[in-house]
Amino acid sequence: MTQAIAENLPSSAPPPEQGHHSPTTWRTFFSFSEDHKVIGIQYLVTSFVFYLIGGALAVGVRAELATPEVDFVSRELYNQLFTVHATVMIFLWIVPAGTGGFGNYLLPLMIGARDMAFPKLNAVAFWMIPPAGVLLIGSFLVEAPGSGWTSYPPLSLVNGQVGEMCWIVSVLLLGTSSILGAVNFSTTILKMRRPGLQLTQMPLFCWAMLSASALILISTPVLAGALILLSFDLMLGTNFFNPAGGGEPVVYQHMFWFYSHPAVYIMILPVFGMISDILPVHARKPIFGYKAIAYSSLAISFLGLIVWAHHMFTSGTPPWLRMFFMVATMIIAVPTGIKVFSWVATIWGGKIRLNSAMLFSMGFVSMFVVGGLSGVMVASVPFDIHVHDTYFIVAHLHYVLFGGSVFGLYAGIYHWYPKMVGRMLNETWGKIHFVLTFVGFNLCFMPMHWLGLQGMPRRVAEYDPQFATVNLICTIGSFLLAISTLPFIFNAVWCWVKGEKAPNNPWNALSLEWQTESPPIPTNWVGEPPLITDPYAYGTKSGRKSIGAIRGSDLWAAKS
Amino acid sequence: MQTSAVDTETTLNVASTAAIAHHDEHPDFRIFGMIMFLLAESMIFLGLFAAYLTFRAVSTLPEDQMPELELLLPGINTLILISSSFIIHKAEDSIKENDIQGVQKWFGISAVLGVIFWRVSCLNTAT
Repeated sequence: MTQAIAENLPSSAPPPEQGHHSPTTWRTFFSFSEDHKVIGIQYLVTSFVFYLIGGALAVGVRAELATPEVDFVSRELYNQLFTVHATVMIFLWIVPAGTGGFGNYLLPLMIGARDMAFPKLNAVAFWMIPPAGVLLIGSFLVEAPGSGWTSYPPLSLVNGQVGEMCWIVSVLLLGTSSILGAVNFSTTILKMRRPGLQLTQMPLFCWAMLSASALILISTPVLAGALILLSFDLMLGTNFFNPAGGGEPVVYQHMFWFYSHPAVYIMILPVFGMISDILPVHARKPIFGYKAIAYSSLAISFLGLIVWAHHMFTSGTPPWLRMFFMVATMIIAVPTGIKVFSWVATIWGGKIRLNSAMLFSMGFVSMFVVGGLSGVMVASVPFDIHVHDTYFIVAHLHYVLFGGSVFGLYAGIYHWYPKMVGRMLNETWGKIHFVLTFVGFNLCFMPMHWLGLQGMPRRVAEYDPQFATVNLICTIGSFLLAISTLPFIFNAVWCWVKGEKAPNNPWNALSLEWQTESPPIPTNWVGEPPLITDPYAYGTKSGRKSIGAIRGSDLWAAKS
Repeated sequence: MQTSAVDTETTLNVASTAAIAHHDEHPDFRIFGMIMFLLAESMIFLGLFAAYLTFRAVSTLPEDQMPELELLLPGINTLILISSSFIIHKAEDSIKENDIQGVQKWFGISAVLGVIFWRVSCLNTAT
């Protein structure tokens, strides 16, 4: 079959055909473009801007915590700072950057499609994000939400209607955008693959995106339902969640975490996929355990849906239910462990290129393991009861979301920047960025484990003076993290304009997205995209054969 | 062998004849996408049903004071809502067939059902 398709390829490549896409200029990035590559970059740049804003809010939080007293900001403003910080980082940075940014840019290129299945819907999904972000951050001008990103009632019902409604509407918009994106991703992966390309021949990022899309489709609408009921309580005086009127706040917690625990996997699965694609390229070895990694993404997706109440061990959850959620949560360590061991086995004995993409990937694996291990600890009910709502949780979640997701997103940016922009990033600045991020991150979050074990509660602006020195260390780490973004911004902006021109395949990678121009033409390929059945065949006979046969421009140049 | 639903023959032929808008290359996947969206949409209601059942289960009201779920009037309105999809679908079919009377008929039925729906909603709220 495959052979037949290859033989049927047109003998001369048709001229590049633009379809409804006009050539990409800087103006295109500010337009309602339907090109998945433009939309992918729109997502990445927009979400990175929000990352900087969320980071500034975090610096505000840490500046307040530099001393035990309330001196830098008021208690109310402190609550608003950490509420908006978390909401921005989750809904406006990691989710849109991982799924929207990389998903949009890479999926069609990896499966040999010209674009996403529904380009207009794709653009609509993106353009819901800027207004939602402006609404959320603009709420500081009127009244910012201050009930935490979880917005638990009854607190969220008494903390100011305006701020809370801004939060609800903003999250509803972002959730809708996420759902529309997932409809597009799942349809594209399942239906738009280049003829002849089987599911088990796709790069692992596609499997990860399929799993993340399934989670988005199943869990996000439940959050929407919870937020609609919460807004009724807030604005119309109903009593779904208000205990004063006979409501049940724990129902909100169940609905909230039915989305928000899978959200962790929505944030980490695309990054798992990216790491699975980056490591083999820079270790020059085939991926270890392709099917194990692919199917473990699906397993994580399924298990991720049945563990939500581990966030509620101290919410009056009955012991038999806690037991179920404890065991189910611990089982997630199995598919996750499969991935980690497969990554280590992939780079084991490889011919490792220690560039910025690889450094961030290795940083990801090591930091994520720390977050994963503390995750198994807090999955255990007796331990969790002690550390619930302490800084141990803050440390754990940042090792997963920053040490995990953000390190992975940086790895992805360093790896695919040449493809997206057509220019190379500066490696020296990349390494400076990595060292500053790695040191700043560990300085900021590692001591928080100890703070939590000693009993320092989270979400408070003032604390026991015995924790002052360690908190100061965390604050210095956070400032270092803020500084660490500067070399990256400088590098990314400078190289966009003046960087060394990138060849089509600077890393000698085998997957399909590298077998076209950098940056790709609006229709991705001239004529039919090549069929790559083993994107990880590094150092093998078939790999040598395939890289010779499929080096993008050569292939098409030979045909014209 | 071939897991993709894309028709290989057509796709390759189209590619070799070149110069077409690239979305003509693949079949129409809008129905598939719509099913994905409806899956997500139904999860909102699954969440709300689960919340409703939980509210009832944890309610501290005595059994005899527990409000009963109304069935008759909301049932009628649900039927009207569901049937309106088919009616509008029939109207769209008529538009495609240039059947003006058909369009008027189906839109007319839709309007009548709309009035009944509104009236039933009023009754339901009043009781």
